[in-house]
Amino acid sequence: MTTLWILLALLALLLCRIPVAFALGGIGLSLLYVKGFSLAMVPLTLYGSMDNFVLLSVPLFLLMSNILLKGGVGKDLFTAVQSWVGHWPGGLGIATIISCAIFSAISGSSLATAATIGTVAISEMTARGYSRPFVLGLVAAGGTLGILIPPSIPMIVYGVITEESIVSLFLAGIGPGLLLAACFIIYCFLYGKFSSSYQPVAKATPAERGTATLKTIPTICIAGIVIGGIYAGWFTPTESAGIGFSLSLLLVTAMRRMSWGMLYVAVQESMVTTVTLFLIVAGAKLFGKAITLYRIPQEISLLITSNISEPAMFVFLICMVLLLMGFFLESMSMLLIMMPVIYPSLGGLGIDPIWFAVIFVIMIECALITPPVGLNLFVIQAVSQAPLGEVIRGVWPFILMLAGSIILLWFIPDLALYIPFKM
Amino acid sequence: MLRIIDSITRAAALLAAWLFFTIGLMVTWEVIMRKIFNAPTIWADELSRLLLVWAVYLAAAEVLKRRKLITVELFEHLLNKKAIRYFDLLALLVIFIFSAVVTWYGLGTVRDAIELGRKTSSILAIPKWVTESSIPAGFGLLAIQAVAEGIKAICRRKEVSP
Amino acid sequence: AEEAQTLRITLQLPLKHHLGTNLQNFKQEVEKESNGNLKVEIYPSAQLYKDKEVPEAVASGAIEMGVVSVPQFAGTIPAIDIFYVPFVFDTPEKIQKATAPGSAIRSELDAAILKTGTRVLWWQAYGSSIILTKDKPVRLPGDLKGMKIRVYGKTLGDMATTLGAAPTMLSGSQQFMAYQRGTVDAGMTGITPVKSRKLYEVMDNMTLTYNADIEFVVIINEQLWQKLSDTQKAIITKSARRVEKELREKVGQIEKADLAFVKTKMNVISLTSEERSLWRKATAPVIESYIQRTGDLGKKLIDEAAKL
Ligand code: NA
Ligand code: NA
Repeated sequence: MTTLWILLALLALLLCRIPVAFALGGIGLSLLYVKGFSLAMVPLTLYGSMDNFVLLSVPLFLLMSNILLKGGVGKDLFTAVQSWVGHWPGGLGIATIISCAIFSAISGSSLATAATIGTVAISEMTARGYSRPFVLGLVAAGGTLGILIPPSIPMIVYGVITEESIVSLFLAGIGPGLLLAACFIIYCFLYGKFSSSYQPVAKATPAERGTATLKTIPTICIAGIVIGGIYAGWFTPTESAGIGFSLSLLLVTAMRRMSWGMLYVAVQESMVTTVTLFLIVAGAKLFGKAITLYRIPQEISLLITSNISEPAMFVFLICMVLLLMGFFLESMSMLLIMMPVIYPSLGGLGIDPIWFAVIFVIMIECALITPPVGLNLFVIQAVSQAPLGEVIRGVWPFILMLAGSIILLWFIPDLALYIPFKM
Repeated sequence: MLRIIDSITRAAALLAAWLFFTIGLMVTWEVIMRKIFNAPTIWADELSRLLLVWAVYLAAAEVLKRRKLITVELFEHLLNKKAIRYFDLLALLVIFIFSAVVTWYGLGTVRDAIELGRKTSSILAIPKWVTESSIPAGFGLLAIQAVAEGIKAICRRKEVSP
Repeated sequence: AEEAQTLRITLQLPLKHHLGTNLQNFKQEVEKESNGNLKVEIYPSAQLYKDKEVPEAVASGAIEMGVVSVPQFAGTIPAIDIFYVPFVFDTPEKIQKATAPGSAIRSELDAAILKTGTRVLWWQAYGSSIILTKDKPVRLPGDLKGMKIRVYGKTLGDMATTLGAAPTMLSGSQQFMAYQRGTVDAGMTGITPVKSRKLYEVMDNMTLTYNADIEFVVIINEQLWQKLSDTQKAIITKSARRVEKELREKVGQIEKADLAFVKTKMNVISLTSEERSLWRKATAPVIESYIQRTGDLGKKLIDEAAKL
């Protein structure tokens, strides 16, 4: 009963446009106050939620991708990939997905990925007669690869909540990320085969390919060092974020593409994104502690384990709940509200928490592109100035593909677990 | 007065933004020292965490000022401007109350930390008031900024409505 | 009638860990003896507070009780690091004596902790520290030279540096991946995590250095303690004594069983007494710097330890 009231209060505050961070924090604070817990807990919790070396990687990954962006690597990347695959059926679409996948390896956020590639790719594709819903849906969905292919901010937060190893989480995202990218590419290919409305791009000359590719090699090297370095154990994820940041800084300076003004903007933007995210993390932490003291996660977990003995049933139910939440909630909040509640049940049901993280992130990808509240939809809408309806019409095939990938992961868990644990 | 508050907030955020930048350099330095010179620093880990806490909370007020806090915009298109303004004031009130309470209790922990001479249990043994005062500082600024934003919103309405 | 009281305890380990079952035994006895007048709630797995946050959380009254590893007090009470000073307590007998209720060492430390606003109810034995390595087995102190080693405390880091190794602080949960990926070449940890965290899958050698003793304390907010009635205090103290003794005996058995298991998985190296004295000699500067850093209390503790 208390659970229901808390849920309703949270919903009411969110609908009244109270910022998510303060809705969570405010309810947490009130819950503590009502039951007479010492409020000394509040500042300690807010402090403790940020005093975390793993969390530190978030601003550093953001700085890295923002600096590279200001250096114009998004356009370079798209041009280079397009010079190789542009002439294939649906070639520009394929180039978009491949660019998204590569950019995902330097960006931890799906919004950044969608915005970066979207800025370049949407106009190119629509100019070539690709149907707008297809183009918009493709970029919105391609952007979601940003959080599955490492680095990934949701994976970092998942690791912070559950104390699971960030390295395992990152590595587990690679397989499913590439799988989804492959699905999206096949979809583009089929679109290209059966749609007659678009004009194929002329095949690039070897010289064009050479110049375009050469420009992107340093960026791809940085991505390689960041992920390879984690895989090879040269450094921890946070350290790799730091190295990626410094290398990006060196690269854009060496390419003479960075001015003080641009650096200033990149640093400011990273700061704002970090702080908006982290305030939610802090608010959710307070909320999480309050409901723990009310023993809500413990009871829900007990309820689950005593009523659901089938892991398949559990995963299915959670996915349904996440799908529903994802219609309305911002993705980071889903993670921060749900994970503390369901994590205790995983062990009892014998579900691998690393595997489950991949499922969760795919559900977050869904949330990012399902209406009415889907941040990637908004980004694409902002970049393209298209009506939201058009974006939504193009995005549903991708939601089906995301769902399909979850089913596939259920039957072949090694798609996620092979790279971190068996390689 | 409002202008002074705004510029303090702005300065705090500017500091915070470059603190993130500095953290990046510190982490890089640590990797170089460990990988190349096999001599890990004793300060990089702890100091970078300390700066992180300060940076995040110092910048909170500016993020509020720029209205960048994430909200669930579900019915936005159904509301008229007036309703949105009321909701905005409500949000500012919630933020103010929350921040004021946090600031008050935060000052309490800082006072305890000074009285008991608490230090971090790590290698640097930094006095805890240095780290923990980030909470009252950041949320104090946030509370003040929330009031400032509230005054701005009310005044603006008076300008428009007559 | 006396006032009913709920005692919430924050624990960073899972409930089924031996420190967790120990708390559950305490809960059972206290609730039974007090006829439910005292209620104990355990919050395991760091749901509420991380290890380093516990002393302050309990002292400020944010939570009534907590379990915390002893070196977390080192910032405020530097001398408490005595348990990590190399080879001071390198046999089960010495540990037993040092941590017995009323022993000189423990009385000094309990009194120092009390000054921070928390009272120690009992000490929880966790086990002894050993060294894991990947390819190169370690037998002599010189063998660690040039290795990157995971440590979990300041004084352990001093020891590593003194032996020419490069210490890196990593949390318990980061260990497996750091070993598997080779981020570090060696690691200090307890015996029991080698089995529970499956570290034997990624490391080849285990050297039984017993260079440090890992202890936890169960603490209660002092203001709350003073508010309790004498009967309540007596029930808590009695239960605390009983479960403390229980755990200390049990840990010896658990370590023995785990060690037997680990021996089937990895190369376990025991040190001879000559080798042990070489380690002692090589790490002597750490003791010096410990005494310099911690002043009178540190000196006193080292002297007491020598008497054991
Ligand atoms: Na990514
Ligand atoms: Na959505």
